Amino acid sequence: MTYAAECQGQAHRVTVTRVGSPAAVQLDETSHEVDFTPLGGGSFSLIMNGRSYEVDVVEEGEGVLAIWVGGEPHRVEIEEEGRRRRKAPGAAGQAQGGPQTIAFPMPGRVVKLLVSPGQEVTAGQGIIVVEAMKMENELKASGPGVVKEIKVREGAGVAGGEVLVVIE
Amino acid sequence: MKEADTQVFKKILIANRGEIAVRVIRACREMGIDTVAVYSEADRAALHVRLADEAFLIGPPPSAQSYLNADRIIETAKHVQAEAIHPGYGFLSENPEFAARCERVGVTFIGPSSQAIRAMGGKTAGRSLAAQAKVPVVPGSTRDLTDEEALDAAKEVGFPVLIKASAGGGGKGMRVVSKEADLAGAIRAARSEGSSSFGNSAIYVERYLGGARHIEVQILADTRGSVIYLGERDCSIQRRHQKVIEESPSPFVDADLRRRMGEAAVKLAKAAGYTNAGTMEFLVDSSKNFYFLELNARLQVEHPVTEMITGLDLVKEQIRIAAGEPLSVRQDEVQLRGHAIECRIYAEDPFNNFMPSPGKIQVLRDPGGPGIRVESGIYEGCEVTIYYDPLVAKLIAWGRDRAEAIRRMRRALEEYTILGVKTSIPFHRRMLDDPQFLSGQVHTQFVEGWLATGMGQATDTNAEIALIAGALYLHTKKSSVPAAQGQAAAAGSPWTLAARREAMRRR
Repeated sequence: MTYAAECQGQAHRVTVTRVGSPAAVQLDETSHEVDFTPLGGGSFSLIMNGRSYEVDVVEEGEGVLAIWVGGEPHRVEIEEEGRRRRKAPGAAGQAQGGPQTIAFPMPGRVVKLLVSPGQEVTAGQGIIVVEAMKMENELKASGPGVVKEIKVREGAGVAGGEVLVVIE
Repeated sequence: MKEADTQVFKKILIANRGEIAVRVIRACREMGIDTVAVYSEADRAALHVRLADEAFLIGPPPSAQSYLNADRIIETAKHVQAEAIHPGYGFLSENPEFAARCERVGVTFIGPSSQAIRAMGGKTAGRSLAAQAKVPVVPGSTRDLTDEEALDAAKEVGFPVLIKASAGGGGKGMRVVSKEADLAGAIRAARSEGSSSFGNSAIYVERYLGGARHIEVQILADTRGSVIYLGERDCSIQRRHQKVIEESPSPFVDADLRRRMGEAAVKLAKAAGYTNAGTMEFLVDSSKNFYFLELNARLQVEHPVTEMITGLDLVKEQIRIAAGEPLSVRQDEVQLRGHAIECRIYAEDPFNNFMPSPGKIQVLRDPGGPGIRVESGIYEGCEVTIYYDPLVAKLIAWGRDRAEAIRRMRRALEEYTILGVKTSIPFHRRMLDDPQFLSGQVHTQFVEGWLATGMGQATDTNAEIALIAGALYLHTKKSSVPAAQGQAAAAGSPWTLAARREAMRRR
C-alpha cells in the first residue's frame, strides 16, 4: 500500500511493503526495516537502523496527523495514494486573498477590536483580542484583505466557534 | 528542623485548585494534617479533589461563583472544623476582606494579616511605604493621581513614561508613553482597563525602565519578629507580562547585590508588619540599581526554585508561621546550593499565537530522574477546562550550576509528553537552546523580540521518522479494522484500536 504524504511543504511517497515485525517501508527511494510497537493511547516505540524513537500520533482531522518524535510535533498530511486530497481547514487557500473568517474556538469575551470596517489588513495583522482562560488572545489575519464585517462589540461575550470578523 | 513534634493544625482547608492545591495537600500530608479540598462543578474529577482527605462542592464552574465565593468557603471551613485555610495563589489569596473575615470567625488565614495585605496591597500604597522605609522605588508618583496631576507628573519624570492602574497586575492597565501627545489617551486607556479588570480606575505614573530585569526576593516572616530572605529569583523571561521561565539564583546578581536587595526586602517587610511568606518584586537596571515594584502577599507560582536551592519547604514554613511557630532557620543558616530553573507548562499553542488549548489529556508521560521535579495538576484522562488559568504544570530542574540545570531541563522537556492539548513545551525547548538565554543576558522584553523571529518549526531531523510512522499508523489501523466497521472505528478510541490490533496479531 502506498501513501501520499506531505510534511513541511514537501511531498513524499511512503509504501508499506510488508507488515509485521519488522515492517518493510519504502520512503521515496529508500527502503527501511522498521519495528513499530504500539504502547497504547496513540503512543509507539519505533526502532529503525538500531535507533529508538518515542512516537505519538494524534489525529487532527481527515488525513492530518500530528506526529510527535523526540518531543517535536510534525504535521503530516497523509492519505492512500489515488484518493483525492482534501485540504484541512485553515491551510493554504485562505492566504490567497479569498474571504477569511476570524473565529474563536471557545467561550470568551471580546477585549478589543484592533480594526474597523473597510480597513485594509496585511497577513499576520492583529484583528481582535479575545479573553479566555484568563489570557488575552490576539487573533490575526491569515492573509491580506479588507475588513468586511465585524459581528461583535468590545466587551461582548462570545459563545465559542462563532464568526467574529469577516475579511475579504 | 523539627517536624514530628509539631502538630500545628489538625485540619486545613485549601481554597484553590490545580497544581498549587496539590502542592499544599502534599505539604499537609507530610505534616500529618488532614486536608479539605473545595471544588467547582467543573472540577469534580480534578486531581486535588482526588488527593484530599475530604472534598466539598462549592458552586458552578465560573470562579466568581466557586473559588472566589468567600461565604461558601468560610462556611465549609466552619462546617468541617478546619482550623486554617490555605489560599494558594490567585483567587482569594491577596484579598484583605477574605483574610479579615477568616480572622473574625476564628479560622487562621495562612498568609499575612488583613492589615498587612492592605498596607502593601495597592501598588501606590506599597510604593509609598517603600519610599518611607528608604527602599528605592522607580521614580514617579507614590499616590493615585488626577488626570491633571498625571500629566504634570509624566512631564516631570520624563519620557518614556509608564501610566499604571494602581490596582493593576499581569500587565493589564499599563501603558508606555514615549511622547507628550499620547499622554491623555494613555491615561484614559489605563483608567478604563483598571476599572473593567479590577474595579478601580486609580492611576499613577512612573519612569519606564526599558531593558531592565525582573528580579524578586523571597522572604519569610514569623509572628515573633524574625524576617529572613531566601535569595532571589530572576523572572525576566516573560511573555505579555506573564512569567514563563524563572530561575534562582539570577545569573546577573552577585553576592553584594543579593545582600543589598535581601536587606531592603527585610526592611520593607518589617515596616509593613508583614508576616508569613511574601515576595518583593524589583526591577534591576544594567548598572545593578534596583527599584521596588510591588509586594506579592502570598506564595508565588515560582516558589519551587527557591525551595530547590535552599532545601526549605515554603508551604510547611507558611503553615508553621500561621500557627505561631518560629521560623525553622535563621538568616545565617540559609545557604544557597546549586541552581534551579522552572518552566511553566501552559495548555496553549505556541505555534498559534499561544492560543489557549483546553481539552482532554490523552497521553501523559512525566519526566523523572536526578534533579527533576514536576508540580502538576493533571493526569491522563483528565479535562483541562476553559474556566481557569491554563497553567497545568510546572517543571523544575536543579543542577550543581546553571549549565547542569539547563541540561537537565532540556532532557526533562524531551521526556515530558502531554498529548490531547497543545502545550508550551516546544516554546521552552527552543528557549533553552537560545544563545542569548544561555548567556543569561536577558531582560523583560526579551521574549517578545525573540518570538518575532524565534518560534518557527524546528529544523527537523526527524521528519523522515514522522512520515514512516504516519504510514505505519494508518496502515496498521486500516488492516486491523474489518471493512464494515471502518467508519465507527475511525471515530473510536485509540484503545479500541490497539485492542483490535492485538487480537489480530494473536490470531
